[in-house]
Amino acid sequence: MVTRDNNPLGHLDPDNSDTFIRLLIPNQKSIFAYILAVIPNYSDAEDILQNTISVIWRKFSMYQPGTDFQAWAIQIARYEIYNFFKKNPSGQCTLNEQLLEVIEQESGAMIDGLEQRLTALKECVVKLNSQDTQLIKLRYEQDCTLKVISSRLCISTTAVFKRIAIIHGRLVRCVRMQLALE
Amino acid sequence: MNPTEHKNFSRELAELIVLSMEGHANAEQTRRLQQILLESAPARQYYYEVIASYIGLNSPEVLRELNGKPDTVRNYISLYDELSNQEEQAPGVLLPRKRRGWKWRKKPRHPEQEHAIVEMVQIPRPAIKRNYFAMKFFAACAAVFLGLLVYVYYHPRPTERFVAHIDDVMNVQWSEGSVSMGSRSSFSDRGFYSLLSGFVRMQFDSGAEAVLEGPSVFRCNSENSLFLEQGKVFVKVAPGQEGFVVRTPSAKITDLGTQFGVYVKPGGMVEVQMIEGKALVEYTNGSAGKEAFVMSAQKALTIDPETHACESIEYDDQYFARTINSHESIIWRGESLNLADIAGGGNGFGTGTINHSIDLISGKVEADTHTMFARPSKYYVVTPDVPYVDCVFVPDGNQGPVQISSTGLVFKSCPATDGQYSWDIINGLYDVSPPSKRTSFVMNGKEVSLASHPTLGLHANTGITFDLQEIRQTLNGAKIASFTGYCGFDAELFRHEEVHQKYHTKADITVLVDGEVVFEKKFLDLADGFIPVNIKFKENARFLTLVTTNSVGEETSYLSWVLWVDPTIHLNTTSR
Repeated sequence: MVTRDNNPLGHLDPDNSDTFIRLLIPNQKSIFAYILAVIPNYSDAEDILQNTISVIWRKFSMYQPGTDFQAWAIQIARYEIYNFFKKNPSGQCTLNEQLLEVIEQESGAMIDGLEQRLTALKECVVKLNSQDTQLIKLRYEQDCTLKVISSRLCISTTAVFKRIAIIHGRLVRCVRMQLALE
Repeated sequence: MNPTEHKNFSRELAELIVLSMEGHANAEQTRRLQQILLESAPARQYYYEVIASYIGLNSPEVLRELNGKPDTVRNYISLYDELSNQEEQAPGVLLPRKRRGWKWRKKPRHPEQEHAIVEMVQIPRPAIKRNYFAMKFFAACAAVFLGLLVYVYYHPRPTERFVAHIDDVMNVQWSEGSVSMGSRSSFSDRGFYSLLSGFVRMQFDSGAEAVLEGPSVFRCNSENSLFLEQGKVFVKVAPGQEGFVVRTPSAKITDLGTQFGVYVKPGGMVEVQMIEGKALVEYTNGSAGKEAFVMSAQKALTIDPETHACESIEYDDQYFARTINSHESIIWRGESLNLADIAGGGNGFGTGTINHSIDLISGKVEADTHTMFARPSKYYVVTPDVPYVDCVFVPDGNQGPVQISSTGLVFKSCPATDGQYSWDIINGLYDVSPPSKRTSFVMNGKEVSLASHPTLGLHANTGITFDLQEIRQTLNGAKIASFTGYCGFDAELFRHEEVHQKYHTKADITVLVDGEVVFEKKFLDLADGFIPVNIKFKENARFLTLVTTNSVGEETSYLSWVLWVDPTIHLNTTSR
């Protein structure tokens, strides 16, 4: 992470930018995981994360240093999620209050274990076979949509997403193994 | 739940999660996923684990681990083969299992063998078996057919969303096949668009505006996000709509209330110019991982995808096209608007002609300049053919308040004049024998050229009103910040006064905004030189009026060659 001392650009703002970055970046994945748990659509969740970051920036002067930044940020994300549902009442993803309540209760544990899972995931992705590796690269590194991948490989979108589901399944099992071995 | 049911359930859950994450789930599938998650704690656990997997696969730290595995043609081919095999296995269809004796039941190729087999079989059971198999085979075919029908009917189709629309285009040429929709008026969140040349002004559903300059390759990821693979984009985000993101292959710029431009050069070098506000810039710094910082206004940087070096560069205010107006053929990069150019029939950005002028009689731009004009009382002409000019008029306080706008604004305290002369409003210099051949003049003792210092000639007794609202509309909501210029007398008039044995007049200069006097200089004289004028506008100011009158008590307005040097309206794209 860049701080004021080692920033090569030398144009960080004097108005809490450093603190903002220092707090935001390590917590960004956790905030995103929370949003993604409630909104299981990556693109929509990214939009909500973006809005959350800009609100955090706007209201940053209200943040009490020393208090739990992650909890504060997730509180803001929660409002942004509600705003999302308000703006998209007819969207594919509708608010299920019961499920939201359950996820709220369990999200803490999910977030707590996130970093550990990501570390284990690094070990697991290298174990994927070459075909799965290529598909992962196309989808997540080159950011190709399923449609683009399917047209590039002349196969159906369904075949692509089924394969991706299988890969995620493999990774989940591998991560479980890694964590169990630790 | 038996093992088979568990396996099917797991597969359904895994597929529903991925469908949903990828934005392909329909309402029914979303409801089904929610139901499963609500009812099953292990399903939720798996769901959280897939979320972690998704976050990981989208993070550079994890993806970097894959870099040791190079892309090869063989890998692609094997991937293709595997996926093709998978596609052949239609979902939910059970293929008939192989049974022993399958080959034995195949039709023999050679009659001799058939004879041999017939001789060996002593009971008719095989014949009955063959019929039984045929029945199963047909049943299987029917099941496959039915399965395919059901599959086709319920197959989850990608839910394509249109997340941005085109506001204006100029000289655009799209790459063949890059744009799927016919009207090209909207952009979907699927697929890339390749703009070979020209400009596109677009608005995202979130309210963010973007101007793309060809050649560019981009994708509208969502209503609040653009992926720029290559090319130039300028982004302006309306207040309250912060959070817009421009992604590039090697960096991510998140708006924090701002206007900025991003240029992804061929080869992947990223250049960011922050015009206003702030933005969060994130990029991957090789082994150092992710780096991030808040970038502030009027700064610029480059990010090299190869070396991961992030370096500060010189800020260029006019690097990106900030708006376009195809009707007026304007590509605006943040330049200021020159009022002299407008008087010469231009659009304010240098398209006008020097020594053309606005005719006080017709209200149109003409090549010949009327030397003088005998003023009727309360003379006022609207100028619909001259962009950004509301009207021209002949001011004289002797006639009472002077109308200075088409909306009826009046100049109440207009000075009295001798009421004798006026002269057309010229983009350039006056001459007693027009058109003037002069291309330079003396300003505060220094020779300056018209080319480098556009000049508006505003002889007494003349006034002109500019419509600031029209400028805003033409430039898509640009903010009109201020007016600056230098007003003074053209020293050339000395020579003519001597020739014609006249006394040079003194002039009163007045600047008004919405009918209110904001600058006044009485008895302007040659000795005063050129006086700097700087007027800051309020946000919704509508009219800027410049007036020259010959000072009361002076003998004549014969040679009242008042010049406005560099008469400029300063603009920016701020929406705050």
